[in-house]
Amino acid sequence: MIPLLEVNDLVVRYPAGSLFGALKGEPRKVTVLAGVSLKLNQGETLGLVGESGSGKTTLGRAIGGMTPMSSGSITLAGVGATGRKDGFWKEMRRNVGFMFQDPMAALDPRMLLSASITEPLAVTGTGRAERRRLSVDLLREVGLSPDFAARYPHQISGGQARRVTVARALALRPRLVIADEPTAGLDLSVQGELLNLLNTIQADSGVSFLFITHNLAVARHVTDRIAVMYLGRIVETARTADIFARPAHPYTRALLSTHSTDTSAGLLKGEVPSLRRRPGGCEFHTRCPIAADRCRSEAPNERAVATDHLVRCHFPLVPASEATEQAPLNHQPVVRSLA
Amino acid sequence: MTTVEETPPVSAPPALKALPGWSTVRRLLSSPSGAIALVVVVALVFCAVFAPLVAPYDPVQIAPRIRFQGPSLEHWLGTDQLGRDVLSRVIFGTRVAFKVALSGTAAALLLGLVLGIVAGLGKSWIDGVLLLVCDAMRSLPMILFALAVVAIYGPSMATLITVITFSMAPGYFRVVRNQVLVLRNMDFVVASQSMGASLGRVAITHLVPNLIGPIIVLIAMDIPAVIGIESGLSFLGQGIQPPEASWGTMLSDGYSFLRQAPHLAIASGLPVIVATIAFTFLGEALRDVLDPKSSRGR
Repeated sequence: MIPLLEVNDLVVRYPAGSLFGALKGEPRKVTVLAGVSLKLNQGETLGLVGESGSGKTTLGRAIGGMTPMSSGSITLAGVGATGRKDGFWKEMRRNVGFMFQDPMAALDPRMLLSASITEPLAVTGTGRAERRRLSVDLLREVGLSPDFAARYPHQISGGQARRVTVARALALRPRLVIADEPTAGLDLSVQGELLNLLNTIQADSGVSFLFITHNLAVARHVTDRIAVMYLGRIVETARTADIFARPAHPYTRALLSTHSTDTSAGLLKGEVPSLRRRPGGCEFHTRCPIAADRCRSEAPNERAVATDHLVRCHFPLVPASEATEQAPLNHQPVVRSLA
Repeated sequence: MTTVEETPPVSAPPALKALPGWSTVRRLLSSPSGAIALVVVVALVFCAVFAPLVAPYDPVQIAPRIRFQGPSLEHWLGTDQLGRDVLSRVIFGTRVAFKVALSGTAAALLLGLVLGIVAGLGKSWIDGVLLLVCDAMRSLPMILFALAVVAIYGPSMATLITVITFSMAPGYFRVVRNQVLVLRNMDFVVASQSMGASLGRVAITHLVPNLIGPIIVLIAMDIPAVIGIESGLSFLGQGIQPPEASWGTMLSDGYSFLRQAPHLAIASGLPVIVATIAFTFLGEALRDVLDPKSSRGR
């Protein structure tokens, strides 16, 4: 099966640092994404988790065409890959919807919601009457009454603004929606409603989601697979149930421990290292509880510890031999809708 | 004044009714200084627009027999050294003052808006060049610049408007450019660009509507200054030329005959003061009303 979205060895560098810093030997560029590869199937929800600064948002923005790529490639099934001469991004934009982290900031304060929602349609040249009709449809689809069309962003609540950005992301009937922290800043009941809404939309349209979040409970609820990011790299990818049942990377285990109730302290020590001074070897060794000499000198390659379970670690917590024996391990119930 | 009350047509396409139009005016009227200022400004605009209907006499009609008359029932503000009706001249002077002030600021605004958006969105070297020109303009003392231009091109209304345009534009340019630099990194602008919107589209649909609020306030605050410039240059004989009526030239006449007929200086000086204060108050009231924080509570 051809994946819908394929990202290969994506690197994003930002220019940064002062001339003074350069004189001290600091690099002028910061590598925010250090070679990220991922695959996303049609109708699937891939969760992107990690601490702040791990590059989740940058990855989403790069796929959405908002951050220039330094190298690597993005392929969308049926559209082609970056570097295609005749306007890859133009086609890409028709197929990818984006939801920003802060829904209020993503809506023009001086623009009616109907205009904001249908802005992607306006850009692609849909007529005004058609847009007005579609804005009502879209509002209904995200569970808002049509009179929201004539309101301004400051007249609605955060949860409603979130729904409006969902409507806008869906305006072009994309095959992929990138949702950056869609539950941030919402209280629990509104979060639940929103996640159910996204589930319904996926069940109805078969859209794929790239779901960026640091909330593991949310990720567990909505994702099919999870990619864990650390310092601009994906350190572990697996089906959601496997991530929670058998985390193979020490970083994943640490993240899970901060999320679960039994806080086994001491799993994560210290701070996230500066992107400007990336540690040598395995970049997690400065905080890893099981780091060995090898970790300090040699960067681990990605390896499979089970089917669909990739990890970037010299000493994965689930050894490859053991993985097969552990097959009937207690499965976590995962709430999923049919895609 | 229509340009102050109405939101500009550029923001109109998505919605006309809910834009800050009438509600702005209503809230403007709710503060005493704003209401008085608005009434005075509207009255002045009325005088300017309908000067030939409002004025009781022809402002340039000479009547040597009735020179230097004080206020009377026939001539409410008296007559000047050539027997012309002062009230009529003040009313026509309003017209001149507004013509110069409004067309000058409108041209300056257009120039500043276009160049500011270009500088804010464009390549950094374009920004650099425009900033350099703008700062060079701003470093020139206004009155020196004006006198130099008048010396070259001769005093006329067109020269006056040109001088005002080029001396006000750098201020608008600066404000617009800095605002654009902020706006271009806001999510809704980034989102619009990620949808494939062209820079022109972004400028018209997102930048201009978000820029116009602070600029309207700036304009209302600047108009008194521009009226001052017009009167000042006319007073110095470098602006509007006689026999056309201008507050500045009338003030200059009044100054010459201050002992004989003090009402001349008073009658032409008062409107300058009233217009200046009214616009300043209007600008301040508008600033309070258009402040997004105070409007959010509605």
